[in-house]
Amino acid sequence: MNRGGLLSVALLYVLVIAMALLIVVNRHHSRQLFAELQKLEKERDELSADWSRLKLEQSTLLNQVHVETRSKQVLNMQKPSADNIKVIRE
Amino acid sequence: MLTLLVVIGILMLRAAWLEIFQQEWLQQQADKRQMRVVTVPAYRGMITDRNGDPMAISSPVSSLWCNPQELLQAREALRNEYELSRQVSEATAGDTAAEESEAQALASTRFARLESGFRQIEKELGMEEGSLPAKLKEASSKQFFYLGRQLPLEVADAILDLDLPGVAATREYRRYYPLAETAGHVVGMTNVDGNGIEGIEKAQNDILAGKNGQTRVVRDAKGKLVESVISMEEMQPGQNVQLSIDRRIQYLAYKELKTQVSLLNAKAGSLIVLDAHTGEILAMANVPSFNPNNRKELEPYLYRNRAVTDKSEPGSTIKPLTIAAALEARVLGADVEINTSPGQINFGKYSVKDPKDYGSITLSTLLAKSSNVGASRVALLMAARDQWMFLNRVGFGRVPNAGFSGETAGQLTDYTKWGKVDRASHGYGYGLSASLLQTTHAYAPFAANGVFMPASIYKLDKPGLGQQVMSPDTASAVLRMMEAVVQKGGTGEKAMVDGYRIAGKTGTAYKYIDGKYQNDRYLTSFIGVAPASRPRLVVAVQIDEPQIDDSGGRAAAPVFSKVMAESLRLLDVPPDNLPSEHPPMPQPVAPANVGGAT
Repeated sequence: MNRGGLLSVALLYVLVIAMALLIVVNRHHSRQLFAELQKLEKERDELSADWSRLKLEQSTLLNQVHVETRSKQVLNMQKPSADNIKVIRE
Repeated sequence: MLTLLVVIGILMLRAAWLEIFQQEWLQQQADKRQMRVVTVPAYRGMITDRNGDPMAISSPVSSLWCNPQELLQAREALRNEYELSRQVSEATAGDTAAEESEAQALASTRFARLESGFRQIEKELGMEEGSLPAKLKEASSKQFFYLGRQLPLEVADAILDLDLPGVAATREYRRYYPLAETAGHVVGMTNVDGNGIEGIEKAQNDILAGKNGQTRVVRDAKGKLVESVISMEEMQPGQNVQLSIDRRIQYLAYKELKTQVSLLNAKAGSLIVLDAHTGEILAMANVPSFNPNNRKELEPYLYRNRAVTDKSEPGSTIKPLTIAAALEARVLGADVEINTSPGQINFGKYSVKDPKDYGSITLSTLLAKSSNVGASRVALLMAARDQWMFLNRVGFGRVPNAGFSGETAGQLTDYTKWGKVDRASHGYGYGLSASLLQTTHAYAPFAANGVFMPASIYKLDKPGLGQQVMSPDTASAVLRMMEAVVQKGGTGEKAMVDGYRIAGKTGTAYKYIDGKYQNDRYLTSFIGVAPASRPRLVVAVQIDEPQIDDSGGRAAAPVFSKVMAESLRLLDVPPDNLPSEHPPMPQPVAPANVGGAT
């Protein structure tokens, strides 16, 4: 085998080893990213659980009856009767 | 040296053997142990009301499962660790204090955390305190045991964080219904697997459900996911569905209906609020109802949406439609008088009666007194075909297609088979049947200048294609007549609403059971339109077999009045019947039209 051939075989050998190492590194990196992804997905789930809980809470507080009793009791408001209403049409 | 070379040689040969000849088999075995296909559950879309407020919402939950034996062993180990460290720390009190107490703190917290995790699960699922370990022991021969299904995330995480062998969680979604039984029939519910089985949840299941995804993953020995190999199917989250319902109206409608049904000790009740201009259903309530948040105590009769699935003879509420049909057929004018003397018409053995002889009455009085004889006379003026055509145009005998499952078409027989008796009885609401939705819908043209808009339970971006089923003149003429019903002395007096002009009609129908009409069991109803000067809403109330106050005017009209009043207020519909004793204030500039009625 001539010198050039030998050199290229050596080069290829080095390349193969390098590639193998790169694959290992990449694989490790991908697993780390996947772990990160799982953490984020968990976080997303917790946030969306919070969101739906808050949404439910908001809808409970916005309940018509609740708002009405609060406005009557706390703010001393009242429903106007027909003789207290005037309609202005344009 | 030589031995070493031989050993290395043997090992290399073995490696080559495994790699080259057994590779496939080994790979399969490894995959079997590590690879799993994991389902990624799709988020189920929300059901919202017309203003975007939630009526059904999914929240992520965890289902915690374990291998009972492994978990029991782990628990035992934790307990021993805890006992041991306590003994050690007692024996060597003070000596190597720092180190020992640290170890004890760790062990005790781990054991205590597991135990408190169990307590939390028991509390969450309503189990007896301390019963979970016993259940685990019972199941210790099995490989798989649900510690708890659909637990709040933090409860499941408290146990998962302990990192015990044989414990894992699956992500699921749980459905919450903030309106509970108030809107149970409309929204419906899902089963434990998350599929819609009633109401809108069923009708729109495909849109709401989305599509579960599937991913091939690598797991480690503890069952933790290490790597996602390939995503086989993308998860597609479900879409939201927006209903035409207004939560506020829905809530008060249910509340008023329920109060009245229990007050009158009635069998059931239904209520519909319809926007006549768009055909959208703003509220639909039924009593008895069910709470979709709690699937346990459900009986089939509770989750029937009566307003849509049950058909019944409408009775007197059909009289305004009879008059409208006659006006459209041009067999009478709006200002004629009908002679109802002697308060009775005989058709052989069958006779139509009024409570008394009303004599010669206007069409307004006919409605206000709810004269059966008058309505029969009007119906007999028309050809059967005209009567049938009109009723069919306003939805009788046709499925409303409003978006519910199980809508009934009611019953409207072929007019060629109608005799004189049929024509007369159809005139005052017997011999044909319809759901409350159909009858309510049939009133909508009165409130929309004679246009019949398709009914819808979904919010419409633009109104559907309406059909002119009667002339605007007929609509407003009948509306004026119906106003007479809701006056002092009319049958619908109790339907009055402060500040608004109301047009409506009462109905008290005998129930047809076991082949004959029962004269002690009634289906009472009231259907009305407001504000009469610029109509917008149709509200229908039906109360089935009230034990006291058994007429439409007394049982159903008061509910109508309350629900209509609140609906008009919530929708900012200006009043059209304000007292006129206050003259308008003198206006220095351009006079505004104070006082409403236009």
